[in-house]
Amino acid sequence: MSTSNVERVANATPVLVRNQELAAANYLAFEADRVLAVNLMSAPGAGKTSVLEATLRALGGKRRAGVIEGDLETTRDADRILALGIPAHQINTGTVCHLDARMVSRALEQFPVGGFDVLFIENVGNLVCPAEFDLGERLRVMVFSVTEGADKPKKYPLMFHRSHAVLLNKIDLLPYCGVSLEELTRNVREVNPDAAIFPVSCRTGEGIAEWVSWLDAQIPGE
Amino acid sequence: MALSILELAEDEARQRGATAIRAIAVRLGEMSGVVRDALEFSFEVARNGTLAGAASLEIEVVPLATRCPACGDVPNTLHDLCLLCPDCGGRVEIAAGRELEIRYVDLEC
Repeated sequence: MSTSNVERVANATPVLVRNQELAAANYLAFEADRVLAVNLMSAPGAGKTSVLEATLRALGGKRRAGVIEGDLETTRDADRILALGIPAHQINTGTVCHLDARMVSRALEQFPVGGFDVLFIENVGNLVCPAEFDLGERLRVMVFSVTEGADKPKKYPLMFHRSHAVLLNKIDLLPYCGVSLEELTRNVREVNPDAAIFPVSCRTGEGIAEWVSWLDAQIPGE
Repeated sequence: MALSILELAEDEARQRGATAIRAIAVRLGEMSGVVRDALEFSFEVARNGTLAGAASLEIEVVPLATRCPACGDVPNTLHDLCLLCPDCGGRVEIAAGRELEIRYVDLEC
């Protein structure tokens, strides 16, 4: 007789099951509040906050918007949003390279979103991990700057694949960076045939109206 | 990810009154977003001080498989993923390769 028994417990549990459960609870809370939750993701410096500022300006007084900002450190992004007169709440993740559903759930305890038509959750700048952690959002929107190169959708397919919309930002810089918008668009399309793709420039304002019009159509009616 | 795996395995161990976790087996899709080497490394660090302090991590990598609903299996690689069917141009679905799950946990009782 052996002194200890080994028991095999087979379960096929998703590794991120806890995150998925909390994300589902957040999702239901957003739906009950009739607020469109948007998870905004990108690499650092692709222009998430600039896109957000341009989007908030374009939505103007028409829609009530709120913002949850995720960064490792500082309240700089929340400060930029507050400067526009838009309610914002900053999450500092410390060393964690993505937001998760628990962080958002905790933020919601301090930052009620029931009065908003749309809630933007700006994720930590990172082209990899945020794509794995659902937050309870209805839309995943990715900001990609053309200066990052046309090959990135192929190199980092998951975030592109999981996004409902991909904004190709900084198109005003296309003449200077040797990137083909056609090739970039084709590469996005190949890893995500369903994504809505919007070439935009926060600097010139080009394409912002088309993106905001698409977004506005996703906001639930009264 | 390593912490999530350990948390789930430890919950299982506690529920069943196990004294230690001998092994944890996971299925890791090629397109799960998690890299095998990184997971192995972080597991070795994170297991210290847990019931899985001496546990092995058995990783089964699930290859990417894609399929066109109209034309059948479509060859694909993660190095050049294309989800448009080369024959009909339609959308290709990911049939396997997104897995990130615990298959089983071996507990010492």
